Amino acid sequence: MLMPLAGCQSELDSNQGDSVAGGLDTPEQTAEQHRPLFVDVTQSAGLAFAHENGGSGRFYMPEIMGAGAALLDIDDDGDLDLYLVQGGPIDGNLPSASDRLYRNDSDVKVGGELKFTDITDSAGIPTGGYGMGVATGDVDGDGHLDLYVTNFGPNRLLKNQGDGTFTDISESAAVGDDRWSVPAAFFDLEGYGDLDLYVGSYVDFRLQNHRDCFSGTGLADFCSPHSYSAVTDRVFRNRGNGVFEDVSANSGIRSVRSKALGVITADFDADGQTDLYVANDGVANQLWLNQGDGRFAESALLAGCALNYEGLPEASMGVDAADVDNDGDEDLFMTHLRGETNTLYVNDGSGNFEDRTIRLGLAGPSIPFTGFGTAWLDVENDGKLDLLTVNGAVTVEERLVQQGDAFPYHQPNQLFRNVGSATQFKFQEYQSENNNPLAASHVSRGAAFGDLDNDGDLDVVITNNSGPARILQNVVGQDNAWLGLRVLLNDNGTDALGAAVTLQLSDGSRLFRRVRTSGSYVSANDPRLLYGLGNLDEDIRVAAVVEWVGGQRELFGPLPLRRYSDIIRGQGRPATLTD
Amino acid sequence: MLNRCAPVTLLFCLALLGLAACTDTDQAPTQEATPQTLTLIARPDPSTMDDTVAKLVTEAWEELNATLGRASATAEETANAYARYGLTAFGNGLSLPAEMAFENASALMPKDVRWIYFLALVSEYQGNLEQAEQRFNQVLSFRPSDPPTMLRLAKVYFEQGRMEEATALYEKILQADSGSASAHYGMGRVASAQSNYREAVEHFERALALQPSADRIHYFLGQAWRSLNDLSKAKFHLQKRGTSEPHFVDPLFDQISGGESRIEGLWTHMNAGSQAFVDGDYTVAAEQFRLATENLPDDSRSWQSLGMALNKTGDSQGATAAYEKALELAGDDAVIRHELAKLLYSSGAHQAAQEHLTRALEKDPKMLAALKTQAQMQRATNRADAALNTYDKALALDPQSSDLIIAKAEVLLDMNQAETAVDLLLAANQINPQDPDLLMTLGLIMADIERPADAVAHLKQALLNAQDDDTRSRAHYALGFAQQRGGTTDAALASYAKAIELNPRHQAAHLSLARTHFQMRQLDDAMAAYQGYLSRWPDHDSVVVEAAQLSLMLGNGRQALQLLEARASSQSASPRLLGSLARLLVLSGDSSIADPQRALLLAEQALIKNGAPAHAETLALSQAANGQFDEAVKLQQHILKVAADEMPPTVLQRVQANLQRYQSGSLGNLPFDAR
Repeated sequence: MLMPLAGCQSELDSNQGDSVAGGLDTPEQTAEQHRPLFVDVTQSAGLAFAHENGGSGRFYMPEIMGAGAALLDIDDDGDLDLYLVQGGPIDGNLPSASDRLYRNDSDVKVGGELKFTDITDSAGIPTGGYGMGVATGDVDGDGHLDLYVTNFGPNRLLKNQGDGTFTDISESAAVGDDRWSVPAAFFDLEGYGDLDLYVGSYVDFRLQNHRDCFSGTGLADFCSPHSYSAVTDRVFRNRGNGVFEDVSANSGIRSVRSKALGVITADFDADGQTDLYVANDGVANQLWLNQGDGRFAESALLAGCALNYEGLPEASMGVDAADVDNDGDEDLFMTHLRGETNTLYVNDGSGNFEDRTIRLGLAGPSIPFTGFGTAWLDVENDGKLDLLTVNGAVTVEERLVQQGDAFPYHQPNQLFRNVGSATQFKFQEYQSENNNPLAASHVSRGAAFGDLDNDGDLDVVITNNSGPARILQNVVGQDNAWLGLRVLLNDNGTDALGAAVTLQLSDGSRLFRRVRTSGSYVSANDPRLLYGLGNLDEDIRVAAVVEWVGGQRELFGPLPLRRYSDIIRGQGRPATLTD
Repeated sequence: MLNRCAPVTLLFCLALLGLAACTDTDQAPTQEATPQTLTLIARPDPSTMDDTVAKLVTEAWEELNATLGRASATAEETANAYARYGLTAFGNGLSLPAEMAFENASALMPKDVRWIYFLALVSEYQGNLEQAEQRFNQVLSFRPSDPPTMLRLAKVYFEQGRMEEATALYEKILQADSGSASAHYGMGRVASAQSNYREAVEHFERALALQPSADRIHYFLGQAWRSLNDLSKAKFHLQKRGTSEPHFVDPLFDQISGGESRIEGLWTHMNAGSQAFVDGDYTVAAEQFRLATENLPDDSRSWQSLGMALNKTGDSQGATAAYEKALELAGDDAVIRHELAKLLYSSGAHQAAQEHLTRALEKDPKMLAALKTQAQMQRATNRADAALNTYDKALALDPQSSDLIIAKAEVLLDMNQAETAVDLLLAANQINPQDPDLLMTLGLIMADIERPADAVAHLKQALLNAQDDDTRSRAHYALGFAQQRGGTTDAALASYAKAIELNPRHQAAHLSLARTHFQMRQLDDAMAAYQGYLSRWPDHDSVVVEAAQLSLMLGNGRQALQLLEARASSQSASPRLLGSLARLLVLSGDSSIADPQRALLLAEQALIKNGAPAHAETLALSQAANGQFDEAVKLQQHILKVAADEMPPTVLQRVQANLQRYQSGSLGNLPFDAR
């Protein structure tokens, strides 16, 4: 069942004392909890990508930080293709590796198996560069998602020609940045309908200023971010023709130096403008509230989302935002270093946050792990958001060193199922050891979420540092009712990044989602929206209220269940305030 | 999981020898433990750790081995040997062997709660909260009211979301000791987590009153006030936030943190030092970094950090030595070289500074900070062309940096190329039209080259673009400067006052306000402004002299005397101030102020500090006031002999006139602020 919109604050509050352990389960519950949710279909889908971190032996910091993945439909054939970011030799002494592009050739419309084909060469993906992450957005409004690839070194903007090929337009678009960039996100800064770009830089690491660092037992190891200076991030404003200008100074972004690893776009203070939340490693996170005039005001400390429940900055990596408590605003979740908790900041609707990680049972199980990619997703389409984090250490794991492990950084991934009721939230770590691909131990980094087989549930592509990219296919979500939306700005097919869509059901329940591709860690997600609706009465009527960036609202519906629908700006009905 | 009942190795056999002469019977080797309950601890593998750690841990293991091999060792001695090894291992980041060692110690002496407490700390370190909870509870079964155990267990409950159990423990602690800052802090955390913000504020304020140094409490107070919608109090506390939690006495924990670990000690001190440095407490930071260097003398990072902290404390000699040691250990490290270069330059060792800077840039030609330093040094040594060239290199790396563009404009001003500087800034302003610093620099230069209308326009735009009070204050100050240049002095006064209102510590605004009132002969307002200035910066001697002079103009010689006297006894009193006071004591017509003998002493002090002719003149004046006309004549003649050629005509006339007065046995005359 869906959560009602009102009263969720008290629902969260009523969860005090409910920990992950949560008491004894019945045998039925145990069986339910241990049934396979995902299946690793990497091999059968023909995906043979292995990340290379370069392994110079010098423990250059970028070697342990990459790399990401993007899910996007490059050829408008209705299914998600896959872009995987590659590392390679970092010091330029050996030939560079290339990012890889895989076309989805599955016949998913008839329930066929997933199948991917490497089309890197024919697509014109350039070689060179030590890759970190990727963001997606349609920069020129032609209806095709373009790619912005962040690197240790010059970044690249790859324009999607719409015919399965890409052109490097970094120079003409003026979005170059040759520092060490990690997160990036396209968003609409001024509500003009064209996409602007945020690029986060990590630290002032260069091969020339590399420092030797050591583990707790004195072994050579990767440095922490404290070894290098913080740097400023950048914002590029789209002039409306796919050519950008650097407005980092004017926007205020340049006024703060930080160590960015994650970014998420949302309207946190409900003023109709797209804000940015930047997850920093080891220093306070930033909440950049969009002032509506091309400028941002940094508000994280007073808003309560700069520092964790201990009043300390954490090593934030991946980040996601979602309406976890179904009260119509977006809450923040981010992954952290081993020894710290992952952190959930709950939004009170006005952009003020409170760290409720402990109260919702998400603290303890995350402490032994270093989390990176993450997302809220409704795995079973039961209307309740679950949480997936992919993990992998950045400094050696003592236990693995003692075991003589050659790459002692790997950790299992984690899924926290929302096993609460409509009146009580509760997260429980999914720990099945039977056919649970999440239990496999890798040095995971990126995680891109999307419905690869168009069956109405979210699948996951996980990237692993010095390891294979893996496709985890959701095998349970399609059993429940669902509704999918592609929210577009125009007939060309430009995704309306930033638009907020509240699904309204005739039983009075509502579900809030926002169109975005940013979030997770160095990865880009499916821009489509998915709503899990549980075992719903199929006669129920469903409508959607869209709030476009800038605040205009439109009503669309009725909408069909168990299929994706396109909704296009200007083609709905005016929405009233009560909609 | 732990490797129990592993195959018997030599160590294991020795262990049994130590406990029960290596018998093959089932007889228990001690009153509590059997061979089966003990865990084999393998010899540390030195390849998994660096030499220092390997040496420490191996020595501890061998010591344990020796105890196990001693047939006469009692169970207590063996347990102690395991615990010692555990402490060494844990302190050096090896929590797994430490856990095994403490488990063995506990198996041998199960009633010794120290080992259980260490095991609980290991569990907490490993993030295994459930096990930590179980072990802390086990400690409490022996010591039901042990405060550190209760505090740690309460925190574990809190982190598990078990607020009622945490509260019960904190309340129990407070019943026994209502002055426990840690328990009040814990209660506040629980209350906050339960959205009971009023109660949280009460507990946090109590904890802060008990331990004012625990400045992390400010963060929680700030958050609680924010939740109570009192943004003023929230901002106040958030600004004061630090990272120190309330401290509580925990002798067992101190055995670990202060124990045989060198790596862990290094980290403890480095972390504490870094935090103190960030908080601006440089003396504490230096002490912590020094302890870190003692822990691991071969670690370049701790030496570099020590150098930074010592530099901040003003110990440039110590800082130089620390940087040089860091450089010796790290090899050719550009960052350390750059830090050392800055330090050497500020100490006057310009050539050595330049050498280090050059090598830093050879190592890392794109090091922006080093390029900036290079340009600053070139500018300071009048090599403006070179400075321009260096700023161009830096701008090639960061073309939109307002800081760099402004710095380059300042070099152009040095070269009397104000118009070029304006062009540069206007071009930058086209790219960054919102940047208030660019606009302010433009405005100031335009005011200086007599384009006050343009200047005011840019400065008003800077005001509109400023996003915080500090920037707004600076913009108001610059606007005041331009208005003053443009002749609208009343407007300038208002701008200076606004700058001070927005930032009461804006030093230049205070001074400009006072001086502008003075120029406008608004003497009472000027005095009020000077007093406002001196209440904040009482050590600024030239301003003290200005204020004293103003007092004299207002006919208040007593106030002038008080102002000067307040500074004269200071070691750092300037010769200018001492000379001014001497002249006041000689020339005052008020007998309650005049004191020629003291004036003589002050004039001598001023001359010793600075041999300028003006100070010699003051001494001659004082000598004459004390009837020492021969000495005064000789000194005045000497002044003429060595400095007449460089004197402006009015000064030359004054010196010659005074010479004639001294020759005729009369008192001379000098202005109060003679320079």
